[in-house]
Amino acid sequence: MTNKKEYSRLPGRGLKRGASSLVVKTRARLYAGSDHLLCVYNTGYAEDYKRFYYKDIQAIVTHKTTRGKVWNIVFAIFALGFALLSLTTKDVLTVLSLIVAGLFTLLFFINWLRGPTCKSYLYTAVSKEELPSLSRQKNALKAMNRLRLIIENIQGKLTSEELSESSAEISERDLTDTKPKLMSKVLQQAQNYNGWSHAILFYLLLVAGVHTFIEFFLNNMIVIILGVLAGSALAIIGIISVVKQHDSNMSGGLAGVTWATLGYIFLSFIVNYIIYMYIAIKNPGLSNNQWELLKMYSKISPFDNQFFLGFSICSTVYFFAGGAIGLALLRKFRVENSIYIQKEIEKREK
Amino acid sequence: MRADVFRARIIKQTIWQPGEDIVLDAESGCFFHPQKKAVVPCATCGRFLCSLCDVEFNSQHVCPMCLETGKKKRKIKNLETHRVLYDDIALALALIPMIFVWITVITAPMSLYIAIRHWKSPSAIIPRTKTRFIIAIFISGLQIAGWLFLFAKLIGEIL
Repeated sequence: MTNKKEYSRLPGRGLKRGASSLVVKTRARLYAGSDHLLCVYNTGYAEDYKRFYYKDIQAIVTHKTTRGKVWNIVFAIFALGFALLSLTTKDVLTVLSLIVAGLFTLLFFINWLRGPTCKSYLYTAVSKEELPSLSRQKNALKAMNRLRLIIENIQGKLTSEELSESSAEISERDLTDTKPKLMSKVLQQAQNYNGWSHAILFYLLLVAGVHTFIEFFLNNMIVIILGVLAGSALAIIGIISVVKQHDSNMSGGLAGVTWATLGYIFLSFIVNYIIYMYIAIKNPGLSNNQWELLKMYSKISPFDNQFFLGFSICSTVYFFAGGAIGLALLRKFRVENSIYIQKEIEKREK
Repeated sequence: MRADVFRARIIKQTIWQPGEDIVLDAESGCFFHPQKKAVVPCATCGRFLCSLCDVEFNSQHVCPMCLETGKKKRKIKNLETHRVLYDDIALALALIPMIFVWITVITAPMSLYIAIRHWKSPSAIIPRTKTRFIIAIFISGLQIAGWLFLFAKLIGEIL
């Protein structure tokens, strides 16, 4: 180990997003060296490094995202839901519900205190690299201020006259040689998917919300069968949406709502399955007759059981809120996407 | 949104020229391209290099072969793009299996072996202490001692 510190850590840490992050979380950090910027990606058992020499860095760009706000809404909904659930349950379940509500409240406050989220990119002559560690605006601005000093020290300061003189040259060069392949990949991603499966998912969520609301007042086989069909359709379309959004340029907020929805759907399946198994255990004579069991299940009203009541209220709230938020974010994504595609096509035609 | 733009954005990139041909017999030729004029010696092996073969790296002029060798033998730190973190692996093997208890009979010796075997192996590029290795050795040592005590007791009871 050398005595002189070779690298100094820049503020911020984040998770590298991508297919591999579904299995292993890759933590990203930035370090400033004497002549280069070091990006460290840690998977827990190994590290990967990317170096960007200061003399090669052309620009660092950061822009706000809605990911933080969306997660805040999701945490708030779950915290409120479990808090409401605790009011309808007794003893151990109340304590458990309060603990879970407390955990979600804590996550909400941590997310809120960390500040707004953003995405940061580093540009060189041949690449555009996302900097996952600069995912919070506070840290991104601090890091950019430090890097600006270092890079201007090495490259010299860029005056506004120089920038305006060469701005026409820069835009021409961007179109011809900068990254035509990269631009076409992003354009392809934008053109590939317009959010049709997400639209179906969020409309189905609203329908599921209506169905769950009806279950408070009407309990029969038809309602149960419709519920099973709606739940299955939601699960299938949820999986399709998650796969589709992976290859698209969908924003973090919309992707987060989709994942949260899929997670809640599977949680609902598990809860309903546990209730079904409870009925089967309580009525051993009927355990071989699935139709009779289903008939017994269909007669259960949310008001018969406090836990079921609480869960039904949570589900109704989440389905309506999730559907509405999802549709609003999807509309925003579609508008931005179409503007982007239009601009790219106009650029290419010129 | 904020965008910091730097001078590299407006500077035109240098177009690299192939090496100059030797005109006079007295001129030295490149080791890899004998017909090209040598412009600089390799800082590592001393071979003469033309402008095509010259690689400027870490403020030195090196040849492509030395660069490749430096990367393979890990002599040039700035070329390393991947390192295995044996200290993290040893610590994970010592700690995580404790949740499942019984599996520590296998993982504790593994953790101890990795910690001892890779004590001097290069760890992360950002220097770190041996704390993880020490904790892994301590915990896996305790686990092994616990298992030995248990086995000794079992054998004692059988006998």
